[in-house]
Amino acid sequence: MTAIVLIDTLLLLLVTVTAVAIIEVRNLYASAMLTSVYSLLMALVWVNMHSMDVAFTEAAVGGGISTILLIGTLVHTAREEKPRKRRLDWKALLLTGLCGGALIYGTFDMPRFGDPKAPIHHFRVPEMMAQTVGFVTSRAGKQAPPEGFDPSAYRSFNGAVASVPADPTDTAWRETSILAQHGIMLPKVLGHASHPAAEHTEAGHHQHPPDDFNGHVPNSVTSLLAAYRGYDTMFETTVIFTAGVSLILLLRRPRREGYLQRSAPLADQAVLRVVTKMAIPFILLFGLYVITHGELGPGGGFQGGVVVACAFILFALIFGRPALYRVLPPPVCDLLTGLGVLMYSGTGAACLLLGGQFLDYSMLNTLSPGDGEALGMTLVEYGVGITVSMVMLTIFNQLAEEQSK
Amino acid sequence: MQAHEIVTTVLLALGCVISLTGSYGLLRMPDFYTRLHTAGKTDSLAQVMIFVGLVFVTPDLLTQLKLVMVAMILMIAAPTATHAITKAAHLHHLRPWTKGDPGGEP
Amino acid sequence: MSWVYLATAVVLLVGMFMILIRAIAGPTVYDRILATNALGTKTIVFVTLLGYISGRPEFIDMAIIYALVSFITTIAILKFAQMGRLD
Repeated sequence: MTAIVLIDTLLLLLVTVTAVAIIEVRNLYASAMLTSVYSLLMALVWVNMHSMDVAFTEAAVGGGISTILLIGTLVHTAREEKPRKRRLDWKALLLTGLCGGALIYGTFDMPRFGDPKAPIHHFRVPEMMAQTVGFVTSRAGKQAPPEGFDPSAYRSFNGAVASVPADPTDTAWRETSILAQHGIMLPKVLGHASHPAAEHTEAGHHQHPPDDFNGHVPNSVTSLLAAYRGYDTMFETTVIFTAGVSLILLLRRPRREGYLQRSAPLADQAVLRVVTKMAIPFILLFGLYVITHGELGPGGGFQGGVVVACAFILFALIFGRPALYRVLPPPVCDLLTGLGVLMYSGTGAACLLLGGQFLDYSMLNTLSPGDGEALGMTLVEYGVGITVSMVMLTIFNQLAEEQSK
Repeated sequence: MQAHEIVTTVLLALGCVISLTGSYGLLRMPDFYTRLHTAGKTDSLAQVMIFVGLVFVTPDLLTQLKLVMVAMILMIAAPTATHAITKAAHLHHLRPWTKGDPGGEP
Repeated sequence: MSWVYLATAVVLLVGMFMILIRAIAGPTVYDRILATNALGTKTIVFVTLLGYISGRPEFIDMAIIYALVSFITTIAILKFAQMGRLD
């Protein structure tokens, strides 16, 4: 067994043991902490599969916010689970076994991990890439593929690749792939400047180095989320905003009875206070970095927003909620929640007013549509980040406020 | 192997040994405060050593700077967390285990 | 060189198993908090090593994020254990 298979096995074994322990342990406090452990182990599993954006989100949301909210819920319940008589439900066990068996049987048909002949790499994804980061021409508007591009050639492509070397870091084989020869997908290799499909320059547009998809947004996940699936992401942000609004409507009580009286700051512990004062600006700056750098590397609006929210939560934990309300008053927090969604939809509306379609970011920069796409993606990621961070903070504030009775 | 790879190997091996010892101590020590010694100290040291060891094999400067930055963050944050745990346990009047007490478990 | 990273990763995983046993079986709540914190720091190192094993240095960002987030989670758990409330 090679070492990588050993690592995979051990990781999945850790995850299974933690999951069983969450159910079996009766102390609810321990279950909450084991849930945090489960989240970070799942983040490791995602990192093992090289999906960094998902791993970021799992670490930030599952290991951070979710655990804090679970602990906040524990204030209102008992510490121990009530003892139950252990009975085995045969019908449920049979149904679960059948479902699990059917799922495992279904995975036999899936392509192997990282297979270059997998359908995802051929039929739809290269066209998506071409729309947002690939073919750029000298006219404004949504990018059409260059001449000679045959959509039916995509759909009839059977994935025949000449020969794939065993070393995953050796990508030179893509130069001679049928995809590149057909001009279907520009390969992400260095030094393919002599490639026939690489002469995609346009007026007023500088040459890109050959290894960033010949476009502007090398992080394909962000480009798919923000541009190809722009509507989906906009409505996801609206859903998060709606969750925050419904929490405010349902749980916020009128604040006339001195709701800030009993708060318990940890600020009398000198070590924690000093270290937190040093750490909070850094965490805020890092959250901003994750939002902004989401186009070029792993990251994005959701992950960065959660990190920014975590910084404010740390401030509230150490210095008390009155101090947080002085720094970020709840009316400002509510206003910023809506501002993020406004930024997202406003970018789409701006594209509409500039003469294109809704959320067609290439209208933002008529000289160079690719730069317009990148600018639009940056703006919407900021919108998402602002909304997510303020809604997470609203949830934490509401949960902590429940105790002030 | 070249010189910088040997340095990295030595540092990574030291980090591994320290971390494994700490984990084993966390499993076998009889009391919370003794477990705190093993887990808290060895964790902080092992990860700083591993990160500093990885600096020597990184090709580009930005990743090296990020590694040093993470090592510095961990040097500050990990002992602070250990201190906070100890203080919380102490304020909760958790008694240390002395030899001859029943109930100290391996 | 990659065997060094793989060996370190396997050793770290074995260490994580031992800490997980302590997290499940710790008699007091502070044992569990300690074990969770230790698991978090081992995860940070493991993520970086996975990045080196696969040859992509962008995983450092994940390590930084997790270092900050696990610090915050530990402080939140401790505040609840010490004061019984979260604000």
